[in-house]
Amino acid sequence: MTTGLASSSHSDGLSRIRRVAITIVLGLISSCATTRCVASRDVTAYFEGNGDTQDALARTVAGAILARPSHEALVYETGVTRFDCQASVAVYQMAILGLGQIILAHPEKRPDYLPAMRHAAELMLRPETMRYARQAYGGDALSATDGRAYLGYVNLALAMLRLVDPDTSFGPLNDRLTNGFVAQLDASPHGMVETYPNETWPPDVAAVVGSIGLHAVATHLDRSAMLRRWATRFEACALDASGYVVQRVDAACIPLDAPRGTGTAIASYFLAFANRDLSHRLETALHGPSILGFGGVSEYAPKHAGKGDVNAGPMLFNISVGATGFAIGASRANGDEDAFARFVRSANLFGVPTTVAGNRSYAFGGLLGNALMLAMLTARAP
Amino acid sequence: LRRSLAICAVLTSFAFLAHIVSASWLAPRDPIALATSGHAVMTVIAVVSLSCARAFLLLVPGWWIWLVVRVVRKT
Repeated sequence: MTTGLASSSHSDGLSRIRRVAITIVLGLISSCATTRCVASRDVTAYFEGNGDTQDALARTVAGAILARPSHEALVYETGVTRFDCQASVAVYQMAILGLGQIILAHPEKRPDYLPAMRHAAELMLRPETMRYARQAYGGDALSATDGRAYLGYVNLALAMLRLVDPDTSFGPLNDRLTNGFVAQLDASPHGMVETYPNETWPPDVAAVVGSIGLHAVATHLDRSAMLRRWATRFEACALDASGYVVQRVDAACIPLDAPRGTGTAIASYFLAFANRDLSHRLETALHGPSILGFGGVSEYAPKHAGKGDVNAGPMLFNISVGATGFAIGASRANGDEDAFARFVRSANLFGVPTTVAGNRSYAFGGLLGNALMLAMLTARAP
Repeated sequence: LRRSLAICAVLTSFAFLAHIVSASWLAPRDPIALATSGHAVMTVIAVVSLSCARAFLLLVPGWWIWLVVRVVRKT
């Protein structure tokens, strides 16, 4: 009798544990399925370049830029002048790249977005956005005769504007900056140009080279030989054995920082405008965990560690927001649909895309985040 | 069970509302510009509210499944 009761109680206990376990598993599966379903919205549409999907985000970015008076560029006031000015340039550069990429894919949208691109170019060149560069070098911030790879970002945007607007008044500046960079890179034994005095950042050099490639397309020049020569020296100087790009080097090419995911991903995106082989190699080197269709990019290459910085943004277990965001552009530019889907799902999960009156924006992104996402999501496919 | 269902329904509705309101408030604005221009408290409230509501809404299907399983067992 006693044995029978104990057996029945034991059986009830097991049955209860099984029911609880099944319920928990079902709950987890349904939560994961919901999360993935919510985050997968528009992933395929973006990869395929659906015009309506791109428009919803592009209208938000273009509207915010056109709402800005031409005598006052957006400059954040965080108290860190370097970040404030670089963020300002990035807003306008990425907006121009994103809108330009849409026009190249859908030429009928040129009248809709060209005014915003022109306005963004004017704002990008305002004295307030160049304040940090002026402090670093003194005098004219728009000269490219002695380093100044920060102007690679500006020049890349101007080259994109020129591609969709051949008669732009910024053509002479685009020519002057490009010719200066070509001469500097050809003269450099390591294929490097300083960003600021005594600061050499290979990802910034990738922006410079991207601008030369895009300028060549816009002006029908053949710079392929120069770009191949440069790529060999760049790889020797800045490419780590892991395939990641070293974030910062000194004048003799000694690494001053680790090989980093943010630099590698953004360099891959920029180089898609100039050297598709190198861009593809960098994109395939990007790695990180993938769980349930969500993906992230490791900020530090294997055997390296660090705390990240403003470029990497928030980091968790070596996965950085910056690297993952830039990898969206790198993967689309290289036709890697699986990677693109994983990274966009992560961006959708944490960025909270929100539609208000038909316009899409990332709730946590602000103008900087929205402009960056526009450029990455519309990166030109091979 | 009835009370659990009611609590779950109220919390889910509240989370939906908080998500919609905070996302709609943040979306046309720039969190960095807001936070550095004297609206830091409002920005933090909106960001925390949106994050919590989103996390809850992504986990709540599990709770609903658990409640549905209990309802099916009872009936």
